[in-house]
Amino acid sequence: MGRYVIRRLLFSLLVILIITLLTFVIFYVMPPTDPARAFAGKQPTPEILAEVRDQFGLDEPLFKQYGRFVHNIFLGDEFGWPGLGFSFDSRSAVKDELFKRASVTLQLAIGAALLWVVLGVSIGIISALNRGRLGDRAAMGFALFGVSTPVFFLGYIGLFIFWQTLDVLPGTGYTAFGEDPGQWFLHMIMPWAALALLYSAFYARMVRGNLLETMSEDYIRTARAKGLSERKVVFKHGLRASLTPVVTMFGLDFSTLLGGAVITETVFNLSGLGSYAVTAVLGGDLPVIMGLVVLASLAVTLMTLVVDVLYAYLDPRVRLA
Amino acid sequence: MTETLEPVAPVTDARDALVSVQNLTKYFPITRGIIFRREVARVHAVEDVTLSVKAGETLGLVGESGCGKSTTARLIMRLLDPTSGKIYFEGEEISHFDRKKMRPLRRKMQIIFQDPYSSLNPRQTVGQIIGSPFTIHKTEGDTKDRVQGLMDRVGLNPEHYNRYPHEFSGGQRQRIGVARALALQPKLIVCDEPVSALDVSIQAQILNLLTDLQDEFKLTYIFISHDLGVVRHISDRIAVMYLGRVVELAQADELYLDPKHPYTAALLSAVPKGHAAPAGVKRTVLTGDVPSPVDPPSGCVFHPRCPKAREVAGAGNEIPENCRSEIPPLADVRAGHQAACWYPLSRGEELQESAHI
Amino acid sequence: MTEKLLEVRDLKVHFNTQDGVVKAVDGVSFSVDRGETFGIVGESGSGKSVTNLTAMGLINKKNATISGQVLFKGRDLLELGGDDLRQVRGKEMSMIFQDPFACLHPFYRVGDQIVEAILAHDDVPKEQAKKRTLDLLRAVGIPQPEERFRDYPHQYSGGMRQRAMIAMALVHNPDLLIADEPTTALDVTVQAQILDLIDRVKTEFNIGVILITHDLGVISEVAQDVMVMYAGRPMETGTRDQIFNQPLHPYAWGLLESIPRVDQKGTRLLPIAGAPPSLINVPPGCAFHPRCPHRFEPCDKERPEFVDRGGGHPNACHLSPEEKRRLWDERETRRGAKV
Repeated sequence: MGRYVIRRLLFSLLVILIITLLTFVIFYVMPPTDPARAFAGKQPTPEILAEVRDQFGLDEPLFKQYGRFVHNIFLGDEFGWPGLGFSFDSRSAVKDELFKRASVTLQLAIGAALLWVVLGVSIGIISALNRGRLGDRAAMGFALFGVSTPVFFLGYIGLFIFWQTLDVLPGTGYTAFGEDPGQWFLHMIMPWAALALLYSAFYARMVRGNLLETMSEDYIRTARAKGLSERKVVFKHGLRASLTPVVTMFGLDFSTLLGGAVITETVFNLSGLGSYAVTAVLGGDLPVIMGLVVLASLAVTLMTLVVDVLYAYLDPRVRLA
Repeated sequence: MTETLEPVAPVTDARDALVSVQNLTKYFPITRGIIFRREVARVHAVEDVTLSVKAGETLGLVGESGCGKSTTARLIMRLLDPTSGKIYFEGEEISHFDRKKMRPLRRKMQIIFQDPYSSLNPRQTVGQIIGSPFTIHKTEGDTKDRVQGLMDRVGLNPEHYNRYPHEFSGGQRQRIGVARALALQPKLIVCDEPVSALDVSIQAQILNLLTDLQDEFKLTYIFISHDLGVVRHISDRIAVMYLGRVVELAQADELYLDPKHPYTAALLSAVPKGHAAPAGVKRTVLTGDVPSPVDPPSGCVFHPRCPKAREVAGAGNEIPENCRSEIPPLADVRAGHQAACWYPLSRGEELQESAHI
Repeated sequence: MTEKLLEVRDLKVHFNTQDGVVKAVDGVSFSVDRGETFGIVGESGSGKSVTNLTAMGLINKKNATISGQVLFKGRDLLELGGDDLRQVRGKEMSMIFQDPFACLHPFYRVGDQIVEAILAHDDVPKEQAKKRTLDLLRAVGIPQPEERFRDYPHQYSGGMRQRAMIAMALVHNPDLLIADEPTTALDVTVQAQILDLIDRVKTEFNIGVILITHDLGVISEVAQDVMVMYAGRPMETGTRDQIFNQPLHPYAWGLLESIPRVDQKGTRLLPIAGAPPSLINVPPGCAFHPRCPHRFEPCDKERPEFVDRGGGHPNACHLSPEEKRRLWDERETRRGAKV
C-alpha cells in the first residue's frame, strides 16, 4: 500500500509539472497578447516596455523563464512561499489574493458538498428501498428537476424569493466568518443550496442505481439467510458495497469545484477563485492564470489520489496493487 | 460388466499430427516496483507440455481449475504467445507467427467457448454472428445461404436469421457458437468447456451434435472439460493436466480402466458415479487444495498430496526423495500410455483413502 | 413416530409478473427427517431452489401468491410473520448456496461475517463469538483458523469458501441444513471433500439435510431419498435405489440416459428432445408431455396426480406400473446397460 501511494504521489507531481508547462507555453509563448504589453498597460512607450521586459526577465530564453517559474513555486520568490509572482492587474502579490479567494471557494465547496452528500445519499436510499412506489417516483422527479435546472436560474429564483420578496435572507455578497458568523451563514445558505441541488440529484440517482444492484447480489441473500434484521442487511451489507463508486465520483466533483464555481460565485457575488479566473483570463493577467492553474491541478490530482486510497481502504480486493 | 483392452497403436508421431506442441511453457509475470516494474514472481500456467493431435481424432484435456488446460488451448490457437517451446500446425512451426502470418491459418482453427451467454455479441443478429467469419476472410458466394445452411445443420431454425442472442435459450446459443466455428470448415476446433454451462438434457444434445459434425466434416477436436464423464464419452485420447503439466496421456478407455498416475486415480474416484454405486467401494478423497501456480512444489508437482507417495514411504516416513526433488518425465508405461510418475499404479491398484480432512 | 422435522404439503408459489403468472412451484410435497439427506434434483427452472427459498422466507412476498404448508417441527412457517421467521432463519434452519464467492460479502473479513451470524441470534460477548468461530473453522477443516479468520473472501480458495459457508450455517446448531447446489461451482476433488463434510456434519449433529442439485451423480452418492422436479412440479419421489434402479417416470429415464457415465464405455447419448418449458406457459396436462416419447391419450389433457400407482413410490405419470417397468427394461437393454 505504501509503495502504491508513493508511486501515485510521484506521478501526480509529474502531471502537475506537465500541466504548468503546457499552460506556460500557451500563455507566454503563443499568446495573442505580449506579456510585457499586458503588464505595461495602455499604450506603453517602447522604453516602458523594455523596462518591463527587463524587470520580469521576459527577454530571457523561454526554458529559463519556465525554470524560474518552477523554482519560484517550490522555493518562493520575493513575496514569500510559494512564489507565484506579481499580478499584472492588481500590482500586488498573486499569492495573497489567491489564498484569500481560495478560502472563500473552499467554504462554498465544503458546505455544498456536505449538503449534497447527505441529501443525495438519503434520497437515493429512500428511492431504492421504495422502488416503484410514490417515494421513489417523487425522488426521481426531484432528481430530474435538479439535474435539468441551471444553477443561475436556481440562484436568481432563490434570491428573488428569499431576499427580495420574503426578506428572510441577506442577498448577494460575502461576510467573513470571523466578522459575523450569523451573517456568514445566512449569506452562504443560498449558494450552498443552489450548488447542492444539482449535485444531490446526480448522487441520488447514482446511489439508487447502485443500491438496487447491490441488493440483488448473492451476499445479501446470505445476510438474510443468517437471520439479520432488514436494517442491518441494507445498511451494513448493502450500502457499504454500493458507496464505493460514490466515493470516486465525489472526489472528482469536489476537486473540480475547488477550481472555482464560476456561475454560482457570479450570481451571488462571492469573490472566489471562479470569478478570479474569469477576470484574469479576460485581462491577460498571466501570473494569476498560472497560479490558478497550479492550484487547480494540485487540487484535482491530490483529491484523486485521496479517493483512490480511500477506495482501496473500502474495497479490500483492490488493496494488493 | 468386464471390459477388455485392445492392443493399441503407438502414440501419434509428431510428424503426422495436425497440431503438436513441444516443451510448451507459458509464464505470466507478476510485477512490483515503484517506478520501474520488475518481475518478482511468475504464474506457471503451462509447464513443459508435449502433445500432439492426429487429424480426425478428439483429444480430451482434463483437469481442475488452474491446471492450465485452457491456457494450453489458447497457446495452440496462438491467442497467446508462448514463453518457450514450439507449436506446430500442419507441420509448420507457428510458435512466433505474427498476426499477419497467422491470419490465413485462423480459417483452419476455431474455438467454441464455454459460456453461451457472454460469448455472443448481444448487439449482433444470429445471421451476423455466424456470417462474420465469411466477411472477415472475404469469401465468395452468398453468405446468407451458407449461414442458413449452417443454422439448419446445427439444429436451429434458419428463419431465425434476424434474431438476437437473447431471444434464444442457452442450448440454442451454444449451437450458434458451433455454427460460427464451423462456418469456414476448419480443420481443428477447440471446444473449451462447451457444455458445462448447460442443463443436463441439453448437454447431451450438444455432445451428440459435436460427434455427428466431426464425422461429417472430418474435424479434429481438442475438447477441454473438467467433467470426466463427458470427456470419456467424446474423446479418443485424453491428457490429464495438473498445475500446468501433463501427468498422464492415454486412450480414453484405458485411462479410465487403468489409470497410472495417482492424481488420475484420485480424480476418477472423486467423480460421483451417477448410479447407485455398489456398497463398499472406497473413495480416495484428496486432502487440501491445489497449490498455487505461482510457487509450484519442487520435483513432482503432485507430491505433497500424493497418496501413492505416502504409501511408498510408509507410515510416518518422509515422502520419497525422488518424488520431492526430481521431476518425473512423461514416459511410456505401456504402448500408447504415458504417465509422469516415479511409482505408477498397477492395474486395479486401489489407493489408501487419505487421512480425513 | 413423532412429527417429521420438515414437512412440505402442496406448496405453490406463483409470481405475478408483467408477462403473466410464473408458476415457479406448483404443488410440491415432501418430508425430511433428522439424520437423513433428502435430495431434490432438477434442471434450471424446475422450481427446486424456489421451493426451499420459500421455506426459508427468502422470497419477496410482495408479488407472490403462496399457498400450502411448510411444517417445521410442527409449526407452519408460511404463517409466521417477518420477525418470527427471522428468528428461525439462521438459527434452527440454515441454507448454503451455490457460489460461495458471491455469497460472502467481499468487503468484510470472513471471521467477522461468521461472528455476525452468531450475534444475530445470540447476545454473547464478542470474544466468545470469536472463539466459537475459530472452533467451527477448525471443525470444517480450514487449516490455521486464526490466520484465516482475518482474511477476506477473495483470499480463500473455492473449497475453503464453501467450508466457511458451512461453518457459518452451523453456528447455532440448526436442525435442518439446506444446501442449494453446494458443489456445482467447485472442482471435482473439492466437491468430494465438501460432500464428505456435509455428510459428517449430518451424522455428528443429527440434523436433516436437503441437498438441491442438477447433478444426478452427486445425488446418488449422498442422498437417501430423492425427489425429481420438473417445471415446478414433482415428477417422482423415492429412495435412492428406487430412483436409480427402477425409476417410474419418463423424465427420470431421460435424465439418467443423457448423462455420460464415467464408468461405462461411450455409448451414444439419448438426450431428451426439446427444452424445459417456460413457467408462464406450462403445457396443459402433464408438464413433460411435449418432450415425452411415451405420451398417449390423457397426457395433454389431465395433469397426472402425484401418487403411488402401485409401482412402489409416488410419481406423476399416467402410464401404468406394468407399462413403466416394461419401457424401462427396454431402455436399459437398448443402452447395453443391462448385463
